[in-house]
Amino acid sequence: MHGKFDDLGRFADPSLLILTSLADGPKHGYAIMTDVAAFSGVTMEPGTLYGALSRLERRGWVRPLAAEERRRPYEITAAGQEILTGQVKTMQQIVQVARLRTAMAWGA
Amino acid sequence: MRPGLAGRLSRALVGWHPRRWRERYHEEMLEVLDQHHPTARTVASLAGSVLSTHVDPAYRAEWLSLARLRRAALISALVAAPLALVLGPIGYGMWQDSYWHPAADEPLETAAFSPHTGIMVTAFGEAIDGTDMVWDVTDLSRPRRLSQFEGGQPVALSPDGRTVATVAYSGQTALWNVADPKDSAPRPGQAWRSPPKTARLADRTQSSNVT
Repeated sequence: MHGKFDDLGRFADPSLLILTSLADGPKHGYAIMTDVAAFSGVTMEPGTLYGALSRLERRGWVRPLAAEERRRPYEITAAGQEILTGQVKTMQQIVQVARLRTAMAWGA
Repeated sequence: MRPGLAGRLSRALVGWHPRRWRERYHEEMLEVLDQHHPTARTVASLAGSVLSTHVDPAYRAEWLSLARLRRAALISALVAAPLALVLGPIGYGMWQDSYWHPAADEPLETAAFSPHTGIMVTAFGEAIDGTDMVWDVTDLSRPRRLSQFEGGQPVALSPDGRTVATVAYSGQTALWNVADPKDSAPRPGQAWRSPPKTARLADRTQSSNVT
């Protein structure tokens, strides 16, 4: 969970992490937290998680499903899928340029 | 932070969100906290969430509307302005009074001075039993009044600046405590003002080293 990914916390956008987590199916709050920690190493705290979830919900990018006891799963919407796809494309471009430039500059 | 404390604080913080937020997220957030291991970071993130939701128009309580805040600011200004106009000059006057304005004061009648401590006791004006004032003259350019008392003419101040001898118009002599002049005036009742008997006064004079 910690270690080499720790610094990502500063760059990681909680909304992007949540959308990525919901891309393979609905999840409730704690499942999102553990999933995000597993694939990115970012420990998302509940305050951050629910702040981002409520913003995503208001923009119509995620949708709450019926609560199962005290847990409420969230699902990515069509608009959310579109946004995530666009974001990933942008990030791929950034990654490509970054790879090229770091390789040329200091051979990383 | 101890886990127990972080957990309790976190759960309390969930309850401090705005009502509309709690109606929607309270239960599931507590459920997440049950599974999560709350740390100081959890507490910090929840505190941030409490603050941001309270100013968020979507969850903000009705009483916290911008119009209300504006009205409250306007009313405070309307109340504060006249108060400042009245209390400001009074406060300035009191502050000014605590300094010596030789030109404005009555002629100095007598004074007793203790060079080492910078304490001086003065009596102004014609009234012999009038007001004695205790001054701190450490800064000669700005003597500061520490206290005042109703005594007679100050005739001597002990070298330590703690005791002043006065002679009243009736001829009575008295010793006054100026040891802690900031603590109001010298208090005659505190066994410092000796009875007007010459013998007793002489004793006291020797023991307290009045010059």
